[in-house]
Amino acid sequence: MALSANAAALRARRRIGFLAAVALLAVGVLALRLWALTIWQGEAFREEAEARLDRSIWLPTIRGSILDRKGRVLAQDVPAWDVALDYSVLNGSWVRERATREARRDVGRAVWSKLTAESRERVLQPFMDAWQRRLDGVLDEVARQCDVPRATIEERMREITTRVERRAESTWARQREQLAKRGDDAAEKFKPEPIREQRMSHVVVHQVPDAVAFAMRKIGDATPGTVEVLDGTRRVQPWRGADVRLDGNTLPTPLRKNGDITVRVEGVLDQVLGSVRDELWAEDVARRPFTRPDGTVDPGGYGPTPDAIGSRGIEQAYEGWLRGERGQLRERLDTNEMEREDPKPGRDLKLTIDAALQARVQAVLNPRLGLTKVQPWQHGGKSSLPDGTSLASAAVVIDVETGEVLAMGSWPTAADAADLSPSEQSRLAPGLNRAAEAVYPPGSIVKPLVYAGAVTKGKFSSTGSVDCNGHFFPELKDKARCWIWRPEHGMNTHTAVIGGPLPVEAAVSRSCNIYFYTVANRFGLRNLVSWYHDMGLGQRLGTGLQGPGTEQERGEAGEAAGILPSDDDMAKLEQRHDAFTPIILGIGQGPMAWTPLQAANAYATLARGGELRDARVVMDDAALPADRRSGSLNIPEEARRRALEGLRQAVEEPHGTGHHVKYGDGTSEVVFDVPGVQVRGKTGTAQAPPLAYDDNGDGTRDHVVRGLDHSWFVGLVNDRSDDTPKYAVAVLVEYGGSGGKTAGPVAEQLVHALVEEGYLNDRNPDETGKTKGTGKKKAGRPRYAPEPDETPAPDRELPEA
Amino acid sequence: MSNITAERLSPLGEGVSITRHGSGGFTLLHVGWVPVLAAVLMSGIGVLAIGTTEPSLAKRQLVFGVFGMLMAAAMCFPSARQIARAAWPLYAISLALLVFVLIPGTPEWLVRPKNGARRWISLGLFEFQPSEIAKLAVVLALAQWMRPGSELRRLGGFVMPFLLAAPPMLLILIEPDLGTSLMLGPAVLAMVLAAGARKRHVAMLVVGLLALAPLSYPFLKSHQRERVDALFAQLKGDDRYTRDIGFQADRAMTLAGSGGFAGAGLEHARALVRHNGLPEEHNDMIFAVVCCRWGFLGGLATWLVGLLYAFGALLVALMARDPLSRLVATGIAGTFAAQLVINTGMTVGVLPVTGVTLPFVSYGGSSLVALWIGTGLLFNLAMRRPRGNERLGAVA
Repeated sequence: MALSANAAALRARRRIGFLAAVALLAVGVLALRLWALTIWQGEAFREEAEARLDRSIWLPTIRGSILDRKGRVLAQDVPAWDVALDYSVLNGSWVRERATREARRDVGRAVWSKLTAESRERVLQPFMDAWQRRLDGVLDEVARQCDVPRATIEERMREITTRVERRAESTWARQREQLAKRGDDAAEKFKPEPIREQRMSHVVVHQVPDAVAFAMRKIGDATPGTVEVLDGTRRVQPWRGADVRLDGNTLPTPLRKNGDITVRVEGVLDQVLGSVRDELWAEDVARRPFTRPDGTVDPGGYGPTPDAIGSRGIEQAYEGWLRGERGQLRERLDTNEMEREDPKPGRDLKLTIDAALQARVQAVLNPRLGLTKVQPWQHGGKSSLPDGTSLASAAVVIDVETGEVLAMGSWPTAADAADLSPSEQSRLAPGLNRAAEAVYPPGSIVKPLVYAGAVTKGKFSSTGSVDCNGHFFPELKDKARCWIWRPEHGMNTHTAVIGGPLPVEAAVSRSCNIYFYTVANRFGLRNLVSWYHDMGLGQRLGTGLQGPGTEQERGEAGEAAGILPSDDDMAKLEQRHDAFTPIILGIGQGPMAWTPLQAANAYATLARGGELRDARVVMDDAALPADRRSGSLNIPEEARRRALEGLRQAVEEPHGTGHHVKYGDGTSEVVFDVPGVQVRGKTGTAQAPPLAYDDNGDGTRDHVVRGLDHSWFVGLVNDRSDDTPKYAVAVLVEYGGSGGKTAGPVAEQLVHALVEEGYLNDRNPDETGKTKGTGKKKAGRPRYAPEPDETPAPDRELPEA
Repeated sequence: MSNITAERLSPLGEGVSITRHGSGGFTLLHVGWVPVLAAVLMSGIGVLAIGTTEPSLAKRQLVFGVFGMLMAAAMCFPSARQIARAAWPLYAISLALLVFVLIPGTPEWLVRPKNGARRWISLGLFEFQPSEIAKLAVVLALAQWMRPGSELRRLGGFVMPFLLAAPPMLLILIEPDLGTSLMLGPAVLAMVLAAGARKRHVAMLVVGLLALAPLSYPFLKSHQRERVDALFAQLKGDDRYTRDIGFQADRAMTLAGSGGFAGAGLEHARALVRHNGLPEEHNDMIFAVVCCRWGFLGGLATWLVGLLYAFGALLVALMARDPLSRLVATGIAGTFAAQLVINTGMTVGVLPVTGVTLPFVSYGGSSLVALWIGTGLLFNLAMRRPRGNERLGAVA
């Protein structure tokens, strides 16, 4: 027994030694682990821990400004911050959520789940009071720092809550209604989900400076889920709206008014500048993420806080150019040192557009002025559209010498949409940049180009003349006719009218179809299409509207290529021995369409004798695509001169299609009457596709109007003192009918606008540039009584396929 | 020399010597000083570490430490017999206190729940945590029960100590305080081993527990399960939990690691700990602060001082002449070592996060005072054995 006792003690001691060894082993293992943490990974951990001593906020980028040709600001960033409160703070649920969470933890989950609703409320009350006090403190601090009365903030909070709740109610009602339509009892089971606005922050104080924003961020960090600081940078467009004063005396007689007419225009450069959206899309971030996949930061990338990105127009096309890089505001938390790295602003972009001229163009295109809505004198009582119908329109003004686009008008703009009925909106598609994004059949405005092409390529003599027999095919008298070979014109021919074959000047000014069928026929289908392409059709010109990328990178938006027959199309035509399509392409009908921009550009090219200086909206060469065309088409001077003479006669000679307008009372009036200014131009009345009407604005078509025409006028303008064309002007009025009667007077107003802005009448545009025009009053334009045999040409070419 | 003879001849075995020994002489030069020295050093580390971020709490901790030392000094007075006699009543009292904190409807000024746990009794100046006393009570009760002649070497007897430890463990588990509760396990195991249980039984138990541990997973509460998941994720370098459940563990590891070899120093460590938002930095996670401020060296020093305490206690056990002393000292060493390993293990990211404090270092009045009481007890046990290396020599 004694021995066993001793043995027991001995054993106990051995085991105590064993326990000591176990403890030593355990501590040894831990020590190795700590060695790994501190020595092997120590630096990484230190870096991670140090990083938390730095608090930083990323400052928003400052986009570059967009300026007009005279340096006027068109779009500019004004940096600032907005202070927002979470919706749960606004509607009071924040206090309740926090209090409930704390109360539940305090009494224990098990006990909490057994409590009745009333005793829960009782338990909750002291916690609610505490959290409410805390929130009050936060709001007081917000009010104090932002220097806004607390009452104002609370007023704002109430407004937002009311608005959001109303929206939520209507959303839920709509959802319930839709479920009810399905018939089953889904509507009763409907559980409303919080709408987006109920899950986000709402701005209560706008536009606070950096220091306040930083203080707000600190409050938000101290009491999470309350205050949030949002990027409140605003993109300001000073030329968004303008009041344009026009001289009422310059208008056609039915609209003429003594004194000035003021037209309010909205979205002066809307369709060109586009817009900036504050909401990032997944593809924006995917394209250039703020945090790269390898974890490094791209200060020019998108995210991580709300960001702005160009969504249309120049803003989108030059996103990379304008964007800039984010800056950073850093605070070292242990030393309270602040460090500011300013954002790297984006580059400014100067456009070729003249904002004041653009405003005038928009005013002229606005139906309120009266030129672009259906008027009795335009159609002589034969229109299928009711009088007063507003018509969509576009206009382009290009400097011939440089290709710079001075104005690019389009109506209606996105801003105009507010004044349109749903039915009008569906018919007029507001916001579309019709000058560059919409394509139209050209009609007879291509005629001088076809002549110049055939001469340039040696397929037609520059002095060549053609007999007009009324119809092109000798054996087919009712196909490929001239407009004059019609019962209403007594089945006349141009040869009969002028007493011989037509030279090109007469063919252009009288818009003879037979002449150009003949030229197109000699030119040949493939040569003609290739020439059209040389003139800028069927391709995107790289104006800058699509940004600085190459043609492949530019994509579709911003500029339309237009339509020309492809090689396959032409092969099929040749296979079918189609003799008709190749010749009607010579009068701008058939499978072709272009934009008003391309039309003005082609005329400018013709005026330059084929020098390729394609239209551009961006001033800086470095900002333009590298693959823009250059060189020359080498149009013989003789051909250029004769084509221009034809265009002159079309406007200035009484027989010209663009010379005068005849009113219902039998009186007539010349279209272009701007003293000291010479206008050469061509009208066009091109068959338009059927116009679909959505009468009630429900998104479905209700009736269709057929047999309408688009109205064109394309011209070249210069001071009479200098014979060289200075500006190319293109006007298109959708479904406007006669080119001479609708588009012509619009073009005349553009000429007045050019005068008012100092581009004509030997005025230096860089010295004048008045926005509000005070044109000199005139007694009214000369009346014109046509000779019986000088019937104004209706220039509506009907190929009648 | 006569002692040895008497003991050897005693028909009652070792147990008898207690009574004889209780009134025996005592000496000033004994191993009881080792744990006292270690405890002073650890308390010092604790006060300094707490002062890194909470200077005012460090002052309070210092006061508690002085009070604890007084209590420890007081613990030198009772005789071994008195201590043995007090074991069961103390066990009963601590059970009663553990039940008391759990009684629903106890006024809040008396039992104030924190983070959903009911562990504390408010005593005006400070809050008293019954589980701290329960640890000591369990050690004493087990030591008392496992005297020679108990059926420890039979399977039935082997189970008894665990059954005795079970009620307080369960009550602490309900508070809930999983860490403190589990920590008693290794301590009981150590005592059972030292008391002479069969290796076979102990091995069976350990192997059985290891085998059963994964099976307990489905019975864990969801937050405990997530902690285990988070630990495995953290060990695998997966940072998916670091924002929620693994936040504390992640930040603790980051801060411990950022100390490097020699530490970041006071000012820098203070900034790092504060702005890394480490929860419980002066309490459960104090070891992270130690490592951040003094680096690997600081951590190692803490462990070495900790081992000094544990080895000192085991030395007291080793030198003890009677089983009760031996078992009490082993039990104290066991609870201390278990707490040291579990706490630092969770800080360096190899054990799941449970609410276990680092003895002497973590902030907490009742814990510190209880630890000093244990230390006083060790001193008492060590000082009451007669001088003479012959005893040691005889055994060795």
